[in-house]
Amino acid sequence: MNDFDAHIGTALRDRVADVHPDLDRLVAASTRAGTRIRRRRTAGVSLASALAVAAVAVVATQIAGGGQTRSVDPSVPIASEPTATAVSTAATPEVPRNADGLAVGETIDFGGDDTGTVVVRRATSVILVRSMDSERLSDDVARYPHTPIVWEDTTGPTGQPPVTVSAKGWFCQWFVADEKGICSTGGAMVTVNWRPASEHAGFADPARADVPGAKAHTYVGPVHGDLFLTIQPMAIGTSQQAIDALAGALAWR
Amino acid sequence: MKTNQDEFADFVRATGTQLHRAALLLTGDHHLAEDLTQATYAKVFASWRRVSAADNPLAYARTTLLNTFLSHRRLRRNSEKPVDLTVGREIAAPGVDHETRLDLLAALAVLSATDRAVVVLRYWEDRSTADVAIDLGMTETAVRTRARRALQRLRPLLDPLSDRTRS
Repeated sequence: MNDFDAHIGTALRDRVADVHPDLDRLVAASTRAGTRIRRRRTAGVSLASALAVAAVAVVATQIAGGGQTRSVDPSVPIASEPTATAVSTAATPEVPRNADGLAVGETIDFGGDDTGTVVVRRATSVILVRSMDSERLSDDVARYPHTPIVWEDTTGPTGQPPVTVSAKGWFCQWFVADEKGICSTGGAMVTVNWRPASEHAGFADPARADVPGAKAHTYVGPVHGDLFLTIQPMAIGTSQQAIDALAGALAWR
Repeated sequence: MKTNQDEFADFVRATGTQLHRAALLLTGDHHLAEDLTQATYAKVFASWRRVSAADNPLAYARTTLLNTFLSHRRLRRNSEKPVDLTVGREIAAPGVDHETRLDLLAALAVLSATDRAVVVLRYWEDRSTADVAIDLGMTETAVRTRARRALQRLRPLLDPLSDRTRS
């Protein structure tokens, strides 16, 4: 190694010696971005899981029947599926255990320091699970092929989304911190966003509301309090029928 | 008991400065360095369970940084956009020769991305030729050739550097 070779190393070290990134900011930003990467992975897993879930959910619905719920869109017929909201007040009997053997209050161990808790279970096999780690949940979903598991992001400011879904074969994950959820069924995948009412007028214009290249229009729901919902297609195969069906199956808490 | 996020935060605080400095030398640009460092840690976080169980998580992060840098064009097309980062947070030490520093980054910028990676690993991190070869997936001969070629290109640009560094 000659003289120049030796000094280039020193010069490089001197060059960056006074560079001090904001590490707290780096932690926060990379955690957020890393979480989004995980969610995209999870969405892929969810789609496959939803396919398996859909058939069972339909059969279970036919067997168990259900109550009524409030629809987010008055123009859409009231769904016949019970919702998570309805669980605490309606008289619909709960089934001791569903096809996967899960019961309310049961804790699912995802490994490490992460667990999920079965919050609500319905005759239609709708189950809410709270977990801190969507990656582990996606791994775990495969163990419960008969259960539409809805993930609630407890890291968000409120801990739960403002809407519930009566999951006729829909698989939803809620990301409260991002004020949205990703729902899928069959070949359809959509994002559900709850937005401030002040933005509602802007979404009246389909040119702004619709996703470029999508064959289905964005659903823009009516204002509810200080919020409104939009449902936008994520997957190419998402049909207008699927979006409208989900709009009818969502209910405000 | 520490959660995964706590462990990850500790890891970033322990290694973030080193990786960020490497990113700055690789990219030659403060904004790109921020982006590259964040993109690297985002990938590490997404696989944190696996990474934290590895013998050397820092080596994994460094390899991720290099791969991300070398596939930079692909990164720029990626929809995962680093957010909310500025360069205003760096703290400049008093008495730093800014003219020399700019010259050094400008000189590195004339090198190809792979040659820059070789220089940074070999002369900034002081890693052996064999280690650099493993990190970059090339032979030791290729590393020596690239290092020699890179220094030949840098020498006329940075010749006064050795005098300043010695003084």
